[in-house]
Amino acid sequence: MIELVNASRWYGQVIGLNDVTCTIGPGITALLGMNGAGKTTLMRLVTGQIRPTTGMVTVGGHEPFANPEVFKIMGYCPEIDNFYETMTGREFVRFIGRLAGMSAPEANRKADEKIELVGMADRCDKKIRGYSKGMRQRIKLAQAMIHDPQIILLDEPLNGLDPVGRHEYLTLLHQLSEQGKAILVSSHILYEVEQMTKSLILLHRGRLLATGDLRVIRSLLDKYPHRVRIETEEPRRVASHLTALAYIVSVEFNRLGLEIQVRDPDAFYAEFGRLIIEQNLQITAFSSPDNNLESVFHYLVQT
Amino acid sequence: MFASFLFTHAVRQNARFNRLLPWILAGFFMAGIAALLASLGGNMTPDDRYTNVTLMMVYRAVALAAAVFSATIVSQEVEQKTIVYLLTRPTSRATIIFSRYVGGVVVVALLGMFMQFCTGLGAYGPNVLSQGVFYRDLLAIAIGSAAYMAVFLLISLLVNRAMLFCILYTFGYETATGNLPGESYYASIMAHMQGISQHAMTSGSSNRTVSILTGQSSSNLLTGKVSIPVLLIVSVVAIGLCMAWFTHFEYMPREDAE
Repeated sequence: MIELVNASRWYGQVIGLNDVTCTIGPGITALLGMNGAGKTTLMRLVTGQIRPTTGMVTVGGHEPFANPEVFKIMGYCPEIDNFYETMTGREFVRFIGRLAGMSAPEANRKADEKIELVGMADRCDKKIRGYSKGMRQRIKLAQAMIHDPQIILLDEPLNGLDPVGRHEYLTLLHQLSEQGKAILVSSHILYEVEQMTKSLILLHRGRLLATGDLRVIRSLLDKYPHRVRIETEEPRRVASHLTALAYIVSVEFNRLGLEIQVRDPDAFYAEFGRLIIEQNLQITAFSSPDNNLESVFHYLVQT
Repeated sequence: MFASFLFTHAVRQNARFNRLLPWILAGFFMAGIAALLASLGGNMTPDDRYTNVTLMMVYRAVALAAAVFSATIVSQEVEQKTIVYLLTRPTSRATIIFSRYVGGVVVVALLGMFMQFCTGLGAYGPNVLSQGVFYRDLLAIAIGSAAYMAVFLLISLLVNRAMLFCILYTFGYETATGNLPGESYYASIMAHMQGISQHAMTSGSSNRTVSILTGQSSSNLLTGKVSIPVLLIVSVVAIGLCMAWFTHFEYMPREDAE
């Protein structure tokens, strides 16, 4: 649905995005990077607010810059918290509905429907200037969805939401994703992203660091062996069996059992299961502390 | 090309009471000046008072209002970052700018007409509605508002701090050209508005300061037949350029663009 081919964008002497090639399809994709990584530039390119300096950006096969055909299938929830402050939430969402090409009655009906969906039905007739950050986020999501777009772009959508609000927001995103919509979520909070999706686009200093499934990206990082924590009452016996395996890099004993580093995690997990059964090893729990987004991001940025 | 909801939105944005209040107060002030001139300027007829206040204050207030309200069409949206909601929707940029422009013109023209009515009331009293020049002034204000708004909108798209240029044009260039020999007044919107309204030369024009301020110290040969088409053409060309420019170039929230 969204395709970037060698897309670069310069702001005078400063580069915002550098030679990025990637494709974004249905489902939730997280756009991840630190501040200044190029997330907002990528969002702006995709939403047709700016043109690439070099390369190409297409959405549904069309160039997005000032292209109403693209905006018919795209909903955008920007990071900014600025609104027409004297409007009520309902008036604002209706106005966006009209901008989306709906008739007044249709915009009214759709606005009410989406406001209900984001849980703002009881507060939508108050002026936006009195809204909290969380209420603004919900109204922004409602306006992005008003015309039932196939592509939804959300720039830092969970900022300012309370835990219940975050849970409801994530549930809604998963529902939309299950309907086959392509959802691109920009964030710099790894914990948030991890709850949303495993499909990532990692940016750093304007460059594309990695794209794809988190686990696949992690497995490709050979330079950093996987850590596996094993909780057991008999750490020495477990260690003696594990050290015989070729891809074990190190073994370290700790209070709960042991922590090992492995080169080929898939092969290790297959072998480990066999060992547990054959050798009757008493394992109470095992986990991989660095098989998460934060570690992957950390490793990639270091690389 | 024209979207009524964008027009309504622009009118509602511009016609908020706190935005209109200074202009309403200015209208009352002009009425007061037009009435007071009778006691201050001995032999001034109601026509003199009406013409002097109109040319010195009302027309310039229209230009100033156009400078202020033209900034709300794009510049203010960029400043307040709400431009992003307009530019990422399936409504063409040309439609957005044109509809908002028309909304701005209506507000500026109505404000100008209100100030003109106040001035007429101060000069003629209840007889203002029976004065032919008053209706010519209303026409001049309506067409002048369209021309000022289009030109100032174009300036606001082309340069930062457009307000400064608009005010320099209104209070510098337009004041000067009305008083310079030759035909440089052809390039003045205000001179064309005077051409439409055809005010009689006032007896106060023997006073050099008043004649400079009213732009009557050199002869203005413009008439409605020339000025109406000229201002309409200026409006159409300027708004056409605005639409093309706005469609072609990027508009990002200001702090991000810097």
